[in-house]
Amino acid sequence: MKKFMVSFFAMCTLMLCAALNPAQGASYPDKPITLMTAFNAGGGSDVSHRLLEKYAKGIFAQPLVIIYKPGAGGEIGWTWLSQAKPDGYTIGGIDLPHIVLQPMLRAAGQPGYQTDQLNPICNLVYDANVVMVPEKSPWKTFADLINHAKANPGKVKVATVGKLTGDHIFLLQIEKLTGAKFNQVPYAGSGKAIPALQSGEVDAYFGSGSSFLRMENTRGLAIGSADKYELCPDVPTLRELGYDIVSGKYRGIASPVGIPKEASDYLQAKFAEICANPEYQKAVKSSGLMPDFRDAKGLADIIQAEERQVREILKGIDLKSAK
Amino acid sequence: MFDPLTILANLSDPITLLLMALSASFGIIMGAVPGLSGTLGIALLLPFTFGLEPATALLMLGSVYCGSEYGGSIPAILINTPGTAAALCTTFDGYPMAMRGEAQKALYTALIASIFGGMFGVCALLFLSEPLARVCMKFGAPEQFWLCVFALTIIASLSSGNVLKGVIGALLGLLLACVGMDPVTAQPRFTFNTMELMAGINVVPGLIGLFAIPQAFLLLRPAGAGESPMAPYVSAPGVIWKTAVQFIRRIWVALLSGVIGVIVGIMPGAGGNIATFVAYNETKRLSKNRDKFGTGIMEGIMAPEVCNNAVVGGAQIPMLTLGIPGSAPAAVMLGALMTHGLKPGFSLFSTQGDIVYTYAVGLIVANILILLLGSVFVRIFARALQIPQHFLVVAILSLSVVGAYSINNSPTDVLTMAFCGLLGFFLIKFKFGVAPMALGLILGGTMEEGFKLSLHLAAGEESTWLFFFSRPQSLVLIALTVLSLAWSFWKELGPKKDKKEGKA
Amino acid sequence: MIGERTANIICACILLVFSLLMFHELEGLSPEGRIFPEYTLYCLMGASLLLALLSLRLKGTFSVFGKIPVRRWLAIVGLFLAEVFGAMFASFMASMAVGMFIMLLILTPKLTIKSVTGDFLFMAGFMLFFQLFFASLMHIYFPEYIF
Repeated sequence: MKKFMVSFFAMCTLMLCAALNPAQGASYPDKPITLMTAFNAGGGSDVSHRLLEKYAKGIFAQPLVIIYKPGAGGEIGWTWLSQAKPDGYTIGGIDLPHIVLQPMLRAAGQPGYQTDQLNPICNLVYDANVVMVPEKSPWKTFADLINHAKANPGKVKVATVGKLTGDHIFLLQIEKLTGAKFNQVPYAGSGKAIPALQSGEVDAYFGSGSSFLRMENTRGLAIGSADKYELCPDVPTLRELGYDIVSGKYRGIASPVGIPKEASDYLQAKFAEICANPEYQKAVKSSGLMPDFRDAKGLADIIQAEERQVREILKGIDLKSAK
Repeated sequence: MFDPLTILANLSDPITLLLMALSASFGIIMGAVPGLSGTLGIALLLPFTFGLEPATALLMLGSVYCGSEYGGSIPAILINTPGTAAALCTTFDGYPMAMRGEAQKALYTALIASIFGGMFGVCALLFLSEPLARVCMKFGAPEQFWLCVFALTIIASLSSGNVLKGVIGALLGLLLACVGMDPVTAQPRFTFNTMELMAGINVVPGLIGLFAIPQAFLLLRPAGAGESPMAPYVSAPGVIWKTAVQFIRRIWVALLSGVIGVIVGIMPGAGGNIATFVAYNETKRLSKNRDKFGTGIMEGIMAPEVCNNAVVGGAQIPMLTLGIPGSAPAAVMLGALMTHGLKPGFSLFSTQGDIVYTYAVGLIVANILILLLGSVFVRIFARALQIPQHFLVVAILSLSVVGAYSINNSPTDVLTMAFCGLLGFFLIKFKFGVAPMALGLILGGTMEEGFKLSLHLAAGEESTWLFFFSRPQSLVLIALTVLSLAWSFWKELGPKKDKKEGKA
Repeated sequence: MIGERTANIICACILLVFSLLMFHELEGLSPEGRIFPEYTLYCLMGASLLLALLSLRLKGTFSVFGKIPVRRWLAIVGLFLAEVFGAMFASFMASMAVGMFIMLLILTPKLTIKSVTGDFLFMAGFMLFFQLFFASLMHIYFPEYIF
């Protein structure tokens, strides 16, 4: 009996030790890579990451394991990411302009990540912002909407996702350049804004193109991409209509600062391979996003450009009243 | 389109059936462990479905969803802890029934109710998708707010005795729900400037804390002091048939709860949690045995269990037709749909008809599988009560820690659970009860969202008050709320009047 | 044993003080973020006052801990909190294993070789279940800062 106890105890201890100390591998990666999603399961980011996970089989030597760290519009996840161990095994999906706006607009003394604490690895997709109205709406062109709004300031209800987020900045840009004033109705997520537009609770929705492409019975009046957008060829760009507005969201991958160069190179190369796969590109397009791979330097440039643009737009806007 | 032969061919494939059975078992276990949920189960299974046909993949995930809604009732009945938030109401009558030694009957009631509800919901999905989806579109922010207010009136009937303490409990729950960063304005409330509280208090760790932990602490009573917490388990043969007969005698409960489940399930953002409260409350109000609710009667288990499984069908109606999920697991299913290349919309039923109809009919098969699997599980779980008390206490405490952690890999969730556990213990001892606080915690976010959105929408209108009270859909809900309150007050005052007359 | 009236009044006072403190936390927020918690706090204060007033008529008594031995309760609760903190901030496996085992030892009615072994096996079985089902199968990794 005693012998059995001792040997059982020894076996348990050994098993525990084995479980806790993974073998020191030769090269990166030698254990699964954790991909963090800063939003809830089932959302847009989750779908993007699931597609990555699906097409990473056969390209990545180790599986990608998706974990969720939702909350506070992404702040929880991105703060966690910025503080994670920089061994190359923890990466996360990031969204622009979120990661630029959040640290910029946070109150002084409030804890949270800084934009430069997230090390860019690569950009994956682009999602242009669209001015959407329901199909049965009387406004057939962007000019119709703006003229009506100018005649009735503060009466046209426009849905956005959140306040002082990418959608809100889009709205502010439009208000600034057209002179129209809208009644902003902020929703907690696109999952709430989409039914609101479809049921007619709001008159318009200034938001992601991916939301637009998911809905039937809606009309796009203008799109914020720099040039004609492949996924919405019939929607005129704001530039074409005479307003110099370029607005959209980027989604990419980042890691905590200081990961080994070997890991960074591997990740960039492998993600590039996934993004070059035509099957993957087709799947991304059918979920409403535009594949747009950039490497680490490319993503870093995007981040800086977004930061400049946001600062420019927010100049002269009284933040206290916008809240 | 709806071609019975193709569908039958798809479904009689033994591999598909095996995968569905495994997924359903996985779902039942996910629902049964407090902390793990159908949402997590679907998310975990999703990568394994990538190589499969879309219909098979959807069937697997749907089986997990159905299984988890049943599984949640198991700990609710056995240890007074809801395995999923939607099983909260099952604790009210399920646990007392188990305490009387009728655990098997309670578990079988939950099983049969879950299957009935599941099939009810799927039939709604198959035959009434289009009209119901159009109803869903009429539901807006003010209705969301009023639905939560209506659901809160259930407190009056829950806290038999001290309604005021119940109200206080609910208000505390609402406050807890406000902790964290406001999802719209990104302003931190009640966070004491710490990162940990920015995410707020998550519902599931809060529920585990409020229910499981006090239960474990209450079990610290010395056993054998002539008063063991659980009556001895009596194995009665033929329980399942007797239970089925009694179920059929009370079929009106099942039908009413099924309808409530489907309707509330359709509404985006409401989901299973609110639906079960409404179903329990309405069933109690309309039943002849309303005073016995809470002591362990079949109707009290039937109502929430039929309802939360009917929500499975209901929540997927807007998911498939409009791309708007009616509940959190439906949201993950939607993500799965899109990953497999299916785009939701009314056209889905015609262009990808064979996949959608195979899926819907397949869910019926899944429910039958759950019935068979469940019967096996019941026998195992009913004996779980037999283990010595000290093992049970430690098991509950440890599973709570692990369950709370596995939701988001977050230590904050575990600390929340521990804090709610201590608070819950004292709430029970000081006769506040934990159910109202749990209710407030669940509803708080949705209620605030509906309130604030309505304020915004009304900003362009002439009068904010008018906006809240003017829409016909809102008026229906307001009327129900007023009725519910008035009925409760009348009931409170009624017996006292009789007592006075009796004494005089 | 304390009087019901006293118990209710103490609760009401705690709630009132708590509400006042929470108002302080809401300072500096814009109206939109503040409105709902504020109204809820007002309602809470109102309800607490009502509770205190209505309790003045009560005469019953009750015991907080009932039949639970207080020392045992404190020991288990203290152990549980230590286990939770240890599991989250030091090492999950070690903390849970040690915590579970000590709890079992405290609660086991009779300490014999057989029962202690039973306790140990129970604990080991659970730890194995956590490792296999959660960490290996579902890729939910537990915090391990020491190892």
